[in-house]
Amino acid sequence: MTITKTINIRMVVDVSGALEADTLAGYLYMIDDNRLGGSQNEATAELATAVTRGDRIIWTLLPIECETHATVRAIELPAETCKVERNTYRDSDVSYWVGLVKQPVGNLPYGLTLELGSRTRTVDNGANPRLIEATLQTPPDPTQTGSS
Amino acid sequence: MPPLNVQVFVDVVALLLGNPADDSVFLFDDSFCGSEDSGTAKLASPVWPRQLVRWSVTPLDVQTPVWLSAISFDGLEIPAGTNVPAPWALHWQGYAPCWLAPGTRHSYTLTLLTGGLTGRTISIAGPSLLVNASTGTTADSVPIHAAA
Amino acid sequence: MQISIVTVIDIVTALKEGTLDGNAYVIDNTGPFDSPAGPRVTNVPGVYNADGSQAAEAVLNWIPVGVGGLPTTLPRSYRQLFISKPWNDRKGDLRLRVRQHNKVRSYAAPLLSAAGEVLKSDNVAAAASVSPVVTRICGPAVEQGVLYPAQYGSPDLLTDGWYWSATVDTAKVGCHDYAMEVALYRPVQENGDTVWEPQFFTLKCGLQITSAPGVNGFTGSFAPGLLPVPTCSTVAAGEAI
Repeated sequence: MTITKTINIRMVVDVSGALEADTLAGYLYMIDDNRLGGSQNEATAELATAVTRGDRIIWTLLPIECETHATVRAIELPAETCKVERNTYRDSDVSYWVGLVKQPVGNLPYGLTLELGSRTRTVDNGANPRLIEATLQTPPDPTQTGSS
Repeated sequence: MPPLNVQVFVDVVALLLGNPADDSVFLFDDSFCGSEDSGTAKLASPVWPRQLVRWSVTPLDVQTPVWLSAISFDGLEIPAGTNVPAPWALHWQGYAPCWLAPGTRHSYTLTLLTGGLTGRTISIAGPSLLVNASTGTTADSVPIHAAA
Repeated sequence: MQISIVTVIDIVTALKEGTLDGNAYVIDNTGPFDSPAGPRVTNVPGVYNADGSQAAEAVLNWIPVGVGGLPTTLPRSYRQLFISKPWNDRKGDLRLRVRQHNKVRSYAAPLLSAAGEVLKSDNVAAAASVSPVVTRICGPAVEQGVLYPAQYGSPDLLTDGWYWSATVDTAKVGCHDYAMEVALYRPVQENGDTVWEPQFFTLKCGLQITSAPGVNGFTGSFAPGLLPVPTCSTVAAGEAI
């Protein structure tokens, strides 16, 4: 399949806050670069990323506490709709996830599990990201911003 | 008599992960007459009656706030005040009472609050104050080996 | 207290629209310290002593990142892994050439996508991969002595190892505006080469400063008392001496 467009999703996580509260809600900020394509809820844990068939999605994660371990353990999407895989940057153990949109997504929630603080501690609740069909969306609020 | 300073270093993320206090909390003091288990959560600090003791807490990762919200001795419950200030406004210091019996050990529990301020607290039991046998009133009158 | 202010920028859209509004997201972990004061506002809690002096320092650190850039958890030298033949050949030179202060400087590193792929300058996604740079912290909060910003050492690629940090005078209670000036880079053709030129943007941000008197946890006042060690004595715990 020919990749028509790459959409980046940058996640920023407050690791100690999420561990303390045992949830990603309020401590995970997801931002993509397709607001003009219809993405919604930027800088929240409920990001709706507008995609179309043929798009490639790249997820990366950044902890606010830069010395703390944080990585994506799992992204769960139906493979027939969006095939995802975990990759590692060359000569490093830093990972990123790539997804290839194979068919229209409609309004498709996906599962997200993060490793926070250590490789054995995961948090998977409180985030409700989804993929939405780019052509179906209304224009987003251009003034929407994230904040502390 | 110089004050006794007790420094509490906290690996906040390790503590939030549920790691044992011995792996997450490290206490040091500046006593000149010998402490026990320095650098551990079981620090025993020699103290003179009437000596001022000061505690301070520092996160190992400076981006992960942590505060002391209570210190209680010998299992004594500290009643919560009616007008509790923000945890960052609290400092902890006090004079060792003159009636403390020489040679006695008074264990204390530190209560820590982390930056998410969810109300979750973490108690660290293990450190203690050791009352010196001499009741010297000045540093000069204290033999260096007194508390060894 | 050290506070990181991470600013995530959709670079391509910001360059297209000519503004950071709607394309930059200011994130920190100070939300629990006070009630939300609005978007792009950082809460800074202060404490003062009985004599009015500041009892605790507050330090801010600004970290700008692009949505489509490499994670900052990769080492500084990471891009240099990709400089090898044939990329060093003049013909296929993929080194990053950046205009700084009217001079063009080459970096021994190519542009990399968020997936670690080497990008040519004519790739539409390339601009997303040039790290944004905070060039100045300014505005009323600086002019009024609330913020004292300065550049400090860091391993950032484009800023030669400098980043912006500031101390805060927490006696200046209230909401204070400041501006974050950010350089994003757009490609221009110059003598057959692609040169990345900075385009400067301003993002209005704020600080919500609170201040509280330092309180002794044992006594509930400024002054220390006796340590509340249990005893059969009649002296009350916490009584001042």
